[in-house]
Amino acid sequence: MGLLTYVAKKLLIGIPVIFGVTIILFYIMYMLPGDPIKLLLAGERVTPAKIEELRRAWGLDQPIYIQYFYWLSHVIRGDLGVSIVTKEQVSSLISQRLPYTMMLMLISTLLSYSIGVTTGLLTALKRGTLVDSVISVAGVASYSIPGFWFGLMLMLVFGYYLKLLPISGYEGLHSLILPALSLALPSSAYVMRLTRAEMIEVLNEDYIRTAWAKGLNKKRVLLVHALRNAMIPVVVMFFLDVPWLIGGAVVIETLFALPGMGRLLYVSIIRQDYAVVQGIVLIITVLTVVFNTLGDIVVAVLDPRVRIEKGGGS
Amino acid sequence: MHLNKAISKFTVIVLISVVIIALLATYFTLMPAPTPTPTSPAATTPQLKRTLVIAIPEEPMGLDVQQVTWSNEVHDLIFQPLVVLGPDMNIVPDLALSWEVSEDGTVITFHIPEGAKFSNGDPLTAEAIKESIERYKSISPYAEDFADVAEIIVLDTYTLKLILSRPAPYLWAVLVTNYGGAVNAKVAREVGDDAFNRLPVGSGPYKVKEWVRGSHVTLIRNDNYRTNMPFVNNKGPNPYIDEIVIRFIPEDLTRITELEAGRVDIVRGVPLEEVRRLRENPNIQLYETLSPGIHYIMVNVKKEPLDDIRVRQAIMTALNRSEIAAILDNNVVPWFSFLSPSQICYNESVERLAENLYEHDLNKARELLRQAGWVDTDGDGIVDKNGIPLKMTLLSPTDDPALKKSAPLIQAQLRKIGIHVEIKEYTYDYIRELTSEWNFELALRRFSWADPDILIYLVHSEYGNYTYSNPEVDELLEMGRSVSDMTERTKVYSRVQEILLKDLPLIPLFVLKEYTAVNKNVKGLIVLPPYGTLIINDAWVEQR
Amino acid sequence: MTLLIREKIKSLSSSEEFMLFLKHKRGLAGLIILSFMLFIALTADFIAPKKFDEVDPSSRLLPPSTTNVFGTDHLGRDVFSRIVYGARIALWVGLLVVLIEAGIGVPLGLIAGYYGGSIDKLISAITDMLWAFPPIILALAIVTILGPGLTNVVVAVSIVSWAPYTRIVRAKTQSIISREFITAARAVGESSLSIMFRYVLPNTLASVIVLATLTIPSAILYTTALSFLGFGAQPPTPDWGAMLNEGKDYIFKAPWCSVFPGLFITLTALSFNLLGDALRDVLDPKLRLG
Repeated sequence: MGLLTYVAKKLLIGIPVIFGVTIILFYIMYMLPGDPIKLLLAGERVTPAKIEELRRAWGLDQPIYIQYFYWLSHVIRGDLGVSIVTKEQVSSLISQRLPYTMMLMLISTLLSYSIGVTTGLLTALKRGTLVDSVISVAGVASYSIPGFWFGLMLMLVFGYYLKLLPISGYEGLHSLILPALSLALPSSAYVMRLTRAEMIEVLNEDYIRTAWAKGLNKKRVLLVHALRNAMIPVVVMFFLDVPWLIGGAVVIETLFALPGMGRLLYVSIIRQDYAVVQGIVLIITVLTVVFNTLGDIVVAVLDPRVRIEKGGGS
Repeated sequence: MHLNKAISKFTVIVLISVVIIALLATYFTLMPAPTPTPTSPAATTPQLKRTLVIAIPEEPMGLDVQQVTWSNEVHDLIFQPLVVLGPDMNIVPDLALSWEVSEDGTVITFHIPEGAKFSNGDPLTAEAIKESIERYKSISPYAEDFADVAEIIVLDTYTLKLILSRPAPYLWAVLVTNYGGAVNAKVAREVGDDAFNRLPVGSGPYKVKEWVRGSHVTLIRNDNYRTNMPFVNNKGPNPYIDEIVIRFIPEDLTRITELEAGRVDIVRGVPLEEVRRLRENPNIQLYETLSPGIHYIMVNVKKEPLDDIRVRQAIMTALNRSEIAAILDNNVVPWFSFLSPSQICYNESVERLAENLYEHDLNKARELLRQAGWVDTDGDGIVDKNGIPLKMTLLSPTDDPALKKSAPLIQAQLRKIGIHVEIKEYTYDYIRELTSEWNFELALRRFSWADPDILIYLVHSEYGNYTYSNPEVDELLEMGRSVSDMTERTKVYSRVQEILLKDLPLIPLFVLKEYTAVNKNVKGLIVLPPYGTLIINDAWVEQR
Repeated sequence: MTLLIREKIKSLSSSEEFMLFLKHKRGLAGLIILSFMLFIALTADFIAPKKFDEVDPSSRLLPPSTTNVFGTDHLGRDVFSRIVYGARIALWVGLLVVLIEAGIGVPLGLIAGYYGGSIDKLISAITDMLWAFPPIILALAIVTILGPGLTNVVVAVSIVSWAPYTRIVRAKTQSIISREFITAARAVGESSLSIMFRYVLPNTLASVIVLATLTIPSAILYTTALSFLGFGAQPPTPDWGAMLNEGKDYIFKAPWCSVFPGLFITLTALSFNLLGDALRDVLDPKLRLG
């Protein structure tokens, strides 16, 4: 089948996924005992009557399907609703905090690849030596360390003792270096493993040896080939993992006091601020589906067999 | 093969470019400007740092004090109440010049200085204050605070009369906090409540410049600020501090690290374990205030087995509060009664009485349980009755470090008299919700309010939203709201506490010492009890 | 079924693969560390000098010594005893994770791969949907509804993460059913269920085991991260993640409160990762993407 049909098909499947996630989420939030109003005001110097009044004003006494339909009809028009807690437009809240998380993710991706690919190349070339073993084990260790622990160590060493980088807050791009490293180092180990494996396979291929025999530049061959093969599946995996990375982002954003979306998600969940949680999850899901599809497209471009067999996942 | 190579090379380039473009695009279009660095460029006096940086644990939900359910340092600086509690806990003027209270306590007349202005230049007249109070009554979740204000009369431009339906001494507790701050209702009407919640207009020493969500609030000096506080020298705007940045740093460790690195000047919410170390740090000044409230265990008196007073008494006696204090590095004061020394109507003899009644005594506790029918028949260390072991759950707040750390200790202490306690951790707000629905057995809670009237929201059968009910207590609490004479009022609340000590719907644990850590280069700062309010009027910050 | 597994194990142990595994130094290291953790978990009652919930406020925050090998924490509890009992919990978490994730993911993968068509599409859609769901939300929801506790948190984390199992098993199933002996079995009239159990499942076991050893550490680490945010083991449970979280407040005064739990978490996760790498290299080198 053609590439376009393939893409269309994949995107089409994505839409029910997005719907499904929002419905599940709505249901979960509905099942949670209590609601944001009660959470904010119960037990304070506020009468129960007032609490009921506020609940009704926010439509929290309506049955779930009506609330969902209401939300959906607004989302279609581009209105993500209003935060019950801060009374702000959800879309405005998110657009203020999303850039930080995105920058964090993008920078950590870049760092992750730089470190991962270089170490991967290195260990592949020096395969079987002590250098290989040491770096490989260090790699495995780095994704065995608890995330916030690692971030805390980085903060203390580079921020507090060495005073090289900011400890917390956003003062410019350099504030994102330590947080990004905390996220990047573990995932760089995966990149390294993949690069190393691909490189080793490539090094064994016949046409490479022929190329060398012919005197072509070893480095250039390595770069083009290894990069090409190793990067793509990992990019795909990275965005597939976005919902999971949000958990890590929450931890890192809390630790480094970054005003990102991860932290907003966490705080909103605790406060049962439905509209905000729905809005953020919607965005995360859309991003996941989009990049997932992008990744599938790339795989399909490289390997036409995949298109024919099934709509196979990565 | 060749086509594939070409396509794949192309794809790689596209992917890399996409990532880089995304990065650049995000950075240049969406990212707001970074926070001003703590060391801002020098102004006219080179030795001074003209920006003060304060770090607080939690971001406020809104900046309009009439729309939030809890307020903090940000609101303190933006809004100015008519009166405040001075360093000796007496009510002294702030915005108001003076005031009179009628003999029967039902008429309060405030005099406002001529020429008073809001931060945006609008005149701050009696009319403006009337509008502010009326707005509070209509939109604040705490509108009940002004329930007894029947009428507000504007006598002339700068004189305001509050007519109360009956004397309401508890009203002063509201008037002295930022909740009683004057709000520019005219502007609120013009821009709408939501916009006002992000950019409010008050008459405090500073006004809002910008609020970067999740990061910080930047305030700049309000040149229209005037006060009548007697205990400060500078009764106008602070000429040495142009800007105040209030940063939200949720992680304790990060806050303290920033302070010690000198990137933050003042830290609120000092973690208890760091107090001793900071005290020994010559670069840090520590300010201590005793919390105007207690930390306690709330008991569901309607639920078995806690409905038996002897069980409650056993718990009260079995607790070893000095041990709890030791766990918290002695940053709390073991406590047996219901009001803290920082609260109005505090009576030391009540605390003495409580201490004597419920002195730590494990044998006495065990005996009480025995009398109630609880004995350990099967030798498993847990007492039982009719084959049922004495078990109960304790709700512990994850976001209140003092209570959270006490929970396992309380669990161990009660184990010694044979009670099996299971701990369930939730957020403080959620625990509060659960207790208001009577869905709990034991719950760790706290309160913080200068006026003893707060007790009415805990133990009154109607207002308290709670399972405990004692008509005598109800009557006394209602009386306490309208007795103006301090001695009489103290008697009322002492009597309330005596009854509560008999019924034990709440089991007091300790009074918290609250700390503010300040860099030594900040001079002239006043930290006001009982809430630890920061008074910046006479302060200045030296360059390091 | 069991007969088949036994045969498979026998054939494995005498095979090249086993020899290869023993030669894999890192895998061996992982196995040794894991065995050590298992050992202390099993012998906790004997090697722990104190009970893990024994509080002693008068001896709080003591540095490591002969009486308290790893020091004491802020409540005066012996850190070493808590670490040792904590091993049980860590391994329990690992086991629970695998049981749930594989228990859900493998059957779904089998069904999806075997039957194909619309069942496959449905299962794949549901799997993708749940994978796209941020687990942190589910964790909080479950904690709020069912009550806090490590088990509930682990259940929450595992429920949204069966996807890798389904995907792998599905892919394997698809490749297996195209083989001749399956067609033969069908021709003879064997039921689908029987085919799945007797032929397909054993052949996917290798991949499942590898995947299990690689997903356990991420589950452990994710659970630790959730402890930082306030969900997880309730006191006095000596969960390493909870200890790490409690201990970080004392990092300047008493670093041993957090260093040791952190170390043990890292070692355990490391051992699973090394083991998994070795198993994968030996059993199924094509399983690179996990």
